[in-house]
Amino acid sequence: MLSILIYGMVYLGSALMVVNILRYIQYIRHIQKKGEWADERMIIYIPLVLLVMFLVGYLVVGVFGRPDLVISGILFFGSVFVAIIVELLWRVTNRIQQNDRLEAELLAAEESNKAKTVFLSSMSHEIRTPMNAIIGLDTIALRNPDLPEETREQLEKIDASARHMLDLINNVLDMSRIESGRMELASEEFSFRGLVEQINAITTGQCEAKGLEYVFEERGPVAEYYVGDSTKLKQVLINIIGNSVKFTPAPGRISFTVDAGQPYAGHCPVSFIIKDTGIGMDEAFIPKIFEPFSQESSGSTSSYGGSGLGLSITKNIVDMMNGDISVSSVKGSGTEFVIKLTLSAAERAREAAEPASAKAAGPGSAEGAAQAPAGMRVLIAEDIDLNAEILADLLELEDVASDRAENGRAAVELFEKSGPGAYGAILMDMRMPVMDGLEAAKAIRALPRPDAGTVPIIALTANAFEEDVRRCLQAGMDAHLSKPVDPDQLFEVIRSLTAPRAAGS
Amino acid sequence: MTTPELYELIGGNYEHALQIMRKDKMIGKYVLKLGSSDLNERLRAAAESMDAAQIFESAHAMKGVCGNLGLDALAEAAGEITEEFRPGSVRRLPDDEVRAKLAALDAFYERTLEGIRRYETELEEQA
Repeated sequence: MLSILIYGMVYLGSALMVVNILRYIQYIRHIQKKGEWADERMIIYIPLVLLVMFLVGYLVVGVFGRPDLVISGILFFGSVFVAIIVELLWRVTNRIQQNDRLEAELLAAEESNKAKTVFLSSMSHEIRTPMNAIIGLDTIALRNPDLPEETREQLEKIDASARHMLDLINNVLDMSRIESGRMELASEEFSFRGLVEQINAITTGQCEAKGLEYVFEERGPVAEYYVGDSTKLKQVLINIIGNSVKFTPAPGRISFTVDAGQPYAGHCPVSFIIKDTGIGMDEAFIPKIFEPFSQESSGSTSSYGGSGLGLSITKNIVDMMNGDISVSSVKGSGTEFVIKLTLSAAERAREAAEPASAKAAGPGSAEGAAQAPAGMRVLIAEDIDLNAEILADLLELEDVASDRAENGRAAVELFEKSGPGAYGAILMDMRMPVMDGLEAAKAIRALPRPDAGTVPIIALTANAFEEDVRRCLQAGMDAHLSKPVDPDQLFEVIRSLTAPRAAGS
Repeated sequence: MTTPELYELIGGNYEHALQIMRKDKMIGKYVLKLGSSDLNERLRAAAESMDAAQIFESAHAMKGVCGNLGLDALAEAAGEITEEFRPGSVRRLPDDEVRAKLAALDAFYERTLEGIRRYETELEEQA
């Protein structure tokens, strides 16, 4: 009995050893194929040596010797132990290789995503250039007073379609920017009053054209100024309100309510409620509306237009602002959107004078000449001597010193040579030889110095179309003024762009 | 001749100029500088060569300066040529018409300069 057990263990153990030696050799080959462990040959072979020693031990004991329980027991359990080790080695290696493979796949996916985004961006940019040409030429053609009525209508339709297309492209660009994580929120003081007035102006126009009633209401302690990203906020509100107008047939009613809650510790909760008496949505569809490209039925796409991205972009922006957007709707009855945001309080107290909006270039304020912060120095980039002199003189009237650069490149060089904070603002003419305003602005923003990102750059453009305002903003410019420059507007803009910073210094 | 009178003579908009330059003194100063600028020479050189980019640059420069000085009629005339030759836009006018318009603009500019010279002489006589 005992000898069966003894010899059983010896022979089983030997078999196990042989198997493990083979497995181990396999393992070594596998590792060497993958190129790792190339320098650690010595360590690799040690277990093999031990295994072989065990096997030899078995053979000696089993064939030539007289094994007893203890020895065969040790040999047997020893080999089981080694077998487990080899098994573990295999498993760990597999796991490591799996991880490597997943990492490589992730990297490849990210590369492909990035490539897609870069492609989308450059395509969008390529597409927008001829789009702007189409819109521009169409506008010029429409200026002709002798157009036959039919031609005028056709040109107007071309304009509408072209602008729609530009809208779609901008949406796609926004979406790709969001998905690649490159969309950023600005944080600056803006006139809430101005924002609301702009939205109301646009919406009133839309509603009148369609025969809809529009009601605007404000509730609670709404401030004049807030700190946040006014451009994106406007984008969100116009998107939602625009949708409401789009999906509400006449006679109908759109209402836009701003409901401000009590501010606490510099945080101002504001709710925007947009209600319409439009066609509404199915209950089942509501959870999906913020997904890209979802529109209730493919049939409606053709009659209502839209890229299907607007709401998705809106939701993303609201999320980025740590806000909340919710919707309730009854099919055939109407829809209500509620956007809850927390804006930051602005330092500026309610001012009865100057309805300042840093981005506006409307008629100068009637309350009298605005003033620039005294003792400031401004960099003027303007190629035409006379214009530069006039600007310098105007600034001088308000005690603002200036340096002049004849073109974009000179402007960048002058800025580079100056100390940080030397220039309180840069006036950048758009059209200049050697390097134009956009390029210069981009170059300045890219400089590695603390004020490169914050120095206010004001574009001087000959007309609002000539340089797409958006391109100016994307190039890093803060505002634009149209030529000939109205000094009141100029100082207004300079003041509003520099005041919040001055408050800190 | 006062500056408002000069502006009436040359078809400028004095109110507009005042809005931009705020002070009569400034307007006077810069209107005189117009005489010594090379805007008309640039325009003539461009008219000779009929090079699109050159015409655009010189007309655009003239439009800008005149706009800044409240010489609205002159700015508008220069503006027409600017739009015609804006890079990226398609030409509507045939070359002879363009030459004619350039000549007309030149003449208009000359008349303006004449008025300014008279204004200058009178100023010097008063001084």
